[in-house]
Amino acid sequence: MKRRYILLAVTAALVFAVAAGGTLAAQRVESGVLSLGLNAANLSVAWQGEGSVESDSEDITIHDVNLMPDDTYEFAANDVNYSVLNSEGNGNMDAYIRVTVTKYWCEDQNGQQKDADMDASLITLESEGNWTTAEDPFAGRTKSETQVFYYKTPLAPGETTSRLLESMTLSKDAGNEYSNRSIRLEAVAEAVQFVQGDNELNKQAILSAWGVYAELDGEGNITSISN
Amino acid sequence: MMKRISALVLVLGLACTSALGCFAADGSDISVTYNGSSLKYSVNNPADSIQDMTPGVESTYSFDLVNNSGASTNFYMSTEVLQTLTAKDTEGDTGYLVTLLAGDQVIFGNNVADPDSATTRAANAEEGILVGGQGTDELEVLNEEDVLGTDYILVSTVDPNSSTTLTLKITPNATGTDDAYLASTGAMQFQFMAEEVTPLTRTDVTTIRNEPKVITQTRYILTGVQTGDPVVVAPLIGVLALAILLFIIAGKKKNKKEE
Repeated sequence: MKRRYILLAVTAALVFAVAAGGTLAAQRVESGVLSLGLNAANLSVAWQGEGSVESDSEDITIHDVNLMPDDTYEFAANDVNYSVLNSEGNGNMDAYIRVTVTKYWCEDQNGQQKDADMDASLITLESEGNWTTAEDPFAGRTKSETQVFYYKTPLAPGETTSRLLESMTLSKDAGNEYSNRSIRLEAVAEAVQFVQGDNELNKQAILSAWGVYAELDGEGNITSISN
Repeated sequence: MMKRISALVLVLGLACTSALGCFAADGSDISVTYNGSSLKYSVNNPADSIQDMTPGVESTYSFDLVNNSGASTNFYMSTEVLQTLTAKDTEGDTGYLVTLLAGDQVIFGNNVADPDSATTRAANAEEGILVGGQGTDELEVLNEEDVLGTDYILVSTVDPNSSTTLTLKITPNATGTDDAYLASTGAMQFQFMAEEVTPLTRTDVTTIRNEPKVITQTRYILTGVQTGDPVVVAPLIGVLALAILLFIIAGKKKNKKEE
């Protein structure tokens, strides 16, 4: 008899527990878990030379050209056939491009033995029309080994710039000590994100990454650069 | 003995049936639909990630909360950042502007700055809250209890046969998200819950300067457990009564045998 009442009490407790739990569960339903990945954009640029070979760095080497002081050499199309590619395979962002060219005098004819003591500012490079340079407040007062060129139009992935260099001039101040020497140019390309329709962000990105102030037109093209 | 076991088995069977009916099917889609008995995802956009996150640029991901039931329904969401965008260097030093909107109502965002933890939470001139900062867990700061947290929060009350859009906006900080974050990856997860509510609408008409003015107030009462609710308990009381009857009959038969 006692066992029967205990069993009855247990059954009653179980039924009412189910009643309470079942009532709560019936009013509230949950979904499964939804997973969401986060992927940052990627930016990649490379040199594109003859045969469209991508490379990390490029030496621009020209042979059999004799420069006299105050001479200007016009690069032929097949002399400097390098442009900068916004790599579509590795990157997926539109980008501004800039190239920093470092100039050296070399003791040998092959441009291998650099002579850092010689004045590289005697060499002046002119870029093709789609590139621009920063206004230099110290022009004529410093001797810089580098020249920086900014491509005016941002590139979408897979697009390339036009070729970089148009001419090179040797200053009339180059004396006899510069004879029988070669000129070596080393160019490094860089990129900064471009966002269509947000010029304030684009200016901020250029300033943050390159430390220069850019003026942009309505399409985001660079109109001028200043330090 | 066999009859007692039969009664217990009957009750347990009912309990299992009640429980099974309340779980929704798993899914990984971005339209969340409640049909009165279950909560399911459906595919609107096959993308399962936020792509091409860029410093200073807002990325969005939206959920359609759809109520196909006959009752107003509260939708709840829990959010957890499993992994912030992983920088190549070891120290995190960027932040994210985060906003959660239901329609045009701000669920998370545009709060007042906390001066005691300025590096983890700060107001912004726009609608988002800046989460993360130098030396923090960056986007994972969102999981902290005093930020968004990982528990369920009420995001919207949706009328019957209506829907609303829940939008998550994330903007990596423009200067803090540097080259170290190029092509980096992270992960978040979400879960939803639906609960029916009963709207109580009261309309008052007053007269101001001989012009009638209608004031309507709507309150939502959660349809939860109430003492003496006859609809849900009645079948289970019936089962209990049957079990008691079986015990009494079994007891009488046993007494007869003993006699």
